Amino acid sequence: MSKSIFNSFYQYLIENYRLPEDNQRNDVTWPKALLEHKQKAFEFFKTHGFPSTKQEDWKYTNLAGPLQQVFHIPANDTVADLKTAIANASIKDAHAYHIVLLNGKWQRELSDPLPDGVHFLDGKDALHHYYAEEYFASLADPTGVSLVAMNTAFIPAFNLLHIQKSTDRPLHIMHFYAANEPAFLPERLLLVAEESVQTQWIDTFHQLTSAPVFINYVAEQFLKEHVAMDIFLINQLPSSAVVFHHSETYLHSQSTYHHVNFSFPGAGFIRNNINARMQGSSSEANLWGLYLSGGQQLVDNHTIVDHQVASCNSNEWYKGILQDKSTGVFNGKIFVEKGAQKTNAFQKNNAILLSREATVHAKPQLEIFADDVKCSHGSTVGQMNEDALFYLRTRGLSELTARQLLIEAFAYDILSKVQNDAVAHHVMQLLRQHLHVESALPAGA
Amino acid sequence: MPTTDQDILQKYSDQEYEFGFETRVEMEILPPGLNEETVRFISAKKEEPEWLLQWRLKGLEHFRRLSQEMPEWQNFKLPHIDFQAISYYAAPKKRKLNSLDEVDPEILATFEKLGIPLEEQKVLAGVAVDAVMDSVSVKTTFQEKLREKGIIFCSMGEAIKNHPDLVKKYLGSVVPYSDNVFAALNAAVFSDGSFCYVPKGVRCPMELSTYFRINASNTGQFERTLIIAEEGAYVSYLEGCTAPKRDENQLHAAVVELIALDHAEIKYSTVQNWFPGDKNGNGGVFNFVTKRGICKGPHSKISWTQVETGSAITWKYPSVILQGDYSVGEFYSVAMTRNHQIADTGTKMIHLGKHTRSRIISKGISAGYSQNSYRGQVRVGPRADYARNFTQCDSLLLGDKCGAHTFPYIDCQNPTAILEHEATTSKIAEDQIFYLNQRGLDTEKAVALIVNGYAREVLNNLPMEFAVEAQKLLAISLDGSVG
Amino acid sequence: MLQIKNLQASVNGEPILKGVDLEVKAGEIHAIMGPNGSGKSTLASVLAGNELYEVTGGEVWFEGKNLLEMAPEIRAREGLFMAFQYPVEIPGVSNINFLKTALAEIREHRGLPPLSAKEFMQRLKEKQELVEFNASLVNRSLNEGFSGGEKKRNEILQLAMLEPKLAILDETDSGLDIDALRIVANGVNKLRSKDNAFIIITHYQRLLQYIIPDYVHVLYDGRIIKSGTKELAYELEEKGYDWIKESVQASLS
Repeated sequence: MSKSIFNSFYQYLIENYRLPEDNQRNDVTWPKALLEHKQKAFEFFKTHGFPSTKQEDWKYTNLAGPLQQVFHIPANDTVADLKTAIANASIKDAHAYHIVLLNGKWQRELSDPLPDGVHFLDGKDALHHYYAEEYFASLADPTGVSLVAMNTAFIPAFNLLHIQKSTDRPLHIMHFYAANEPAFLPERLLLVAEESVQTQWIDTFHQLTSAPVFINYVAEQFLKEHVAMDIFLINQLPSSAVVFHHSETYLHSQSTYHHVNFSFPGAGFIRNNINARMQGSSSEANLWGLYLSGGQQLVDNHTIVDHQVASCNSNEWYKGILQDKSTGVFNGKIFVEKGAQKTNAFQKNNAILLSREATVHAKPQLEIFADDVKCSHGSTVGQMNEDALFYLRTRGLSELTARQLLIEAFAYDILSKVQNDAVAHHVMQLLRQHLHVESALPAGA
Repeated sequence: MPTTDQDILQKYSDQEYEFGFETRVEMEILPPGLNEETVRFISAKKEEPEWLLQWRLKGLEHFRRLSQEMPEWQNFKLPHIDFQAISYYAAPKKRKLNSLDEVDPEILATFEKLGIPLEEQKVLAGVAVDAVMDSVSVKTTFQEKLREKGIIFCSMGEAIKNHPDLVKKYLGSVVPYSDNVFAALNAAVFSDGSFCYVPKGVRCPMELSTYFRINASNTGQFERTLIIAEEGAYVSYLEGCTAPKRDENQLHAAVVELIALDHAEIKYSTVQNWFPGDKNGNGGVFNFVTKRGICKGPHSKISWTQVETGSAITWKYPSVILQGDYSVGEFYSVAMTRNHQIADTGTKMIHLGKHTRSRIISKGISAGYSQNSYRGQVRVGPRADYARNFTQCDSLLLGDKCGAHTFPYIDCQNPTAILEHEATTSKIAEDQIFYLNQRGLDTEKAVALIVNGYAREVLNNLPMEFAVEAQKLLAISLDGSVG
Repeated sequence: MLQIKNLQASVNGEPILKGVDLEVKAGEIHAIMGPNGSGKSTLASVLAGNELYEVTGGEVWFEGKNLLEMAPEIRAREGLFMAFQYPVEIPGVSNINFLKTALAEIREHRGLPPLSAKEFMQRLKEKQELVEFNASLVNRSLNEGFSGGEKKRNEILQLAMLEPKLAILDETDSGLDIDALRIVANGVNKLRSKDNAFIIITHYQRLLQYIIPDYVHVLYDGRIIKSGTKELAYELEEKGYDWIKESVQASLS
């Protein structure tokens, strides 16, 4: 029995694979070393195909359905009206530096000038950067995830964000996608944050057209000593999108990484792999997540917190609110490797089901190989606290208002991790927009 | 007296297995190998009806299919097992007879030595014992007394002969022969085991117990236990096991099926102390067991309690299918591993009925180079309105070369369910040891005391007779001196 | 204001209230006392509309309206307030936001315009002083991490803010130290008027030394078996509940 899917989309990809120099569309040459990564990744993908539910990490997340479609590698760049899109995507009062991408390509003329010490590079500037040779495919690819290999193999180029100085205002990377026919849209980022840099970064995802797209986004992120990095990921993609998102972050000593991950009803299929690996002592990784799901959506958050060295801290809290016929999957792995003494690793995961037809699968997982550690995880699945609901009603709140308030309170735990009021407010608006609380009435009603 | 933690941990690792002796009795042993003939031989030897032979053959068929692709999901690499190198039938030559006088005195002495006297006047009051040596039940005590209440407690072999309808109705109904590779193997070659039937409304007046002993070398033990509690019945069942010390690995692939009907309750307790192998990880029992119960009727209850200290590898997940409305499933476990032992154990609670409740308390203790994993699933089906689960799984690490792992699966398809899972990993705090030192306990005793306290919640669920044994076992596993 | 007639209620099929009769008029304070398990908290819960309790018989009229037909929030908006024995903690819901929402809903129901932010804050400040409620607590999540005393004072603060006609205090004195008890009682005394009424449910007469009731009722086995004035409370304190149980049993036999 095969643990992989080799379908017609796979066949199409294998047949249409071209190294960049053979590809007419590419005006950039890849350095030889990077090409080797690409070639290796292709071989890996060719052997492994798409993961099937027989693989433990894909047990509840069946790609067979979403990838039934053949998503074509687009022949030309799609034209789209980005001006309106940018206006719609920008977050009020966030005062962010906008970096605009369309199908993974930087739209320099529509982006804001970046502050001193922040460099966004694409094309040959990225390919021939000294960090590209050093880090490209060295963080995400070793995880052996075939969709990452697929990304490495098929990206025409990648972007490099190099942050040398702290920023006064957040960066906002707007990822726009557009296609007139079913399209496979791989995108890649390499981030290097130099010593002692402090930055907030908003990452939002939008689709401008209605043709089905398969978005495969991989980020490799390198945080050097004393870096403090906040990333707010907001997925606003519509139902036509199938999303694979993989971010692999290495933390050097005393660096701090806050990753807050939001998704809302829309994208039919979302798989996030959010991994943080602590390679320097006294580093801290905090992974927070909130998903509100709806329709027939599948939202799958897989996280890895990997304590490779001693004296690091990690906190993780993922919460899910499930509506309609949606399915939520949470898999949180904490590894404490041999010698990683004095580790503190905490994880929480809560889900509430607001519908009879919603399903949730949770697998919090600890793998501990050191003894002087404090690790715990807690996971709950349930409904709204009936006592709290009654209490609020005895104070005059209608049942609907009380439920709305309780769901917002449930979400608040994660919203409060966003150390940026404008972003928090924006996310709250999205939550209110997508939450239909009348479906949250008691199961029997 | 050891003074440092390292010394103490060393000492735990060096602790001898005290049940490692071998009994010399005349044995009838089938040559190694597994094929249709083996299955037919066993079935014929036991004078079984045709339907059972056919059932066994189906088991063999599934075993052949399933063994093509051995399971990989567990948290260790399954060692290669040469199923053709194992002897599938070994029995003391003198068969079970009518009176105790006819039992081979060597066997009596063996069980005596294990603390399981088979002479009824000597037996702990209130415990009926079915003693199983290698493949065959040697003696079941108190049968008469139980029969007065209508309770059937006998070896599986006898049950097949005397109560074929009951066996046919329930055998394989909870663990089918196609369930997994080891369950399929068991179906094909199961030798004996215990059978228990408690009729409607009867509360079994004493603890029932089976004591398993692997003696012969190169043999596997494949017993099968079936317990049925009719409407309103109650039974508490205990299971213990040991094996001699041998350099090669021995395979134990048992199946236990429990069936609880309306308002019935079954309590199943295990103290597992198979030979764990030596301190370098040589030898020891591979313990691949499938245990599952079904709460068939409303308000029924099944409770598993296990203390796992033995075996080189333990692979077992006593589970409960909560089918009846308001039924209750419980799982209490202490798994202690040291040296190179591997334990991958936990439970499944499958909520199908309304208002079903389950509770899981798992305590893992790892020392030496051992790997200890909790693996569990709580599943709530779409019709299981108001299902509730509480899970607590804690790991205690003694030393920095062992591992503790938790793999809980929580699957919920019902918005009225409430599921809670908590897990912690810790070591014994210095200040706890210091506190006890200050009160006059040496570090070794302090550790034992703390470990015992840590396991208390589970040990408290064992029947008295077993709680004492289990405590002793934990203490022996730790240092051999603290009770 | 409130008429309870032959009220019967059960929990999980087990009858708890077996026919309670009580009338409360504006301006009155009633104390309901009784041993554990007599049905005191059940009575409070039934009046507040907790669905765990099934009303199996009888009637309750509140200001001429059938209370039992109203949803819990409608009862609250009509002017019934319950101070819980164990107020729930609701993380993530800020005290202020909650009070604002509740007050707006109640005012709307009464045909009053919502308070402006300034008016609201002003009123909050006033009432906070009344119950000596720390300003920092107001900014925290509803009851989260509050001590027992802080939770009870928060209940009285809400009582003050929402200005109900009838307030039911369910064992508000339990778990309170003497200072907190005094603060809670002072709050209630300042809030009482000729237009509102209180039902104070308590096991001990301790609270009744600070809040003087007009009437004292003894609830036992789901019925009010004795009513009197505040002296009854003293008598109970002195002689214990056994005395009253015996006298009831004597009268039955």
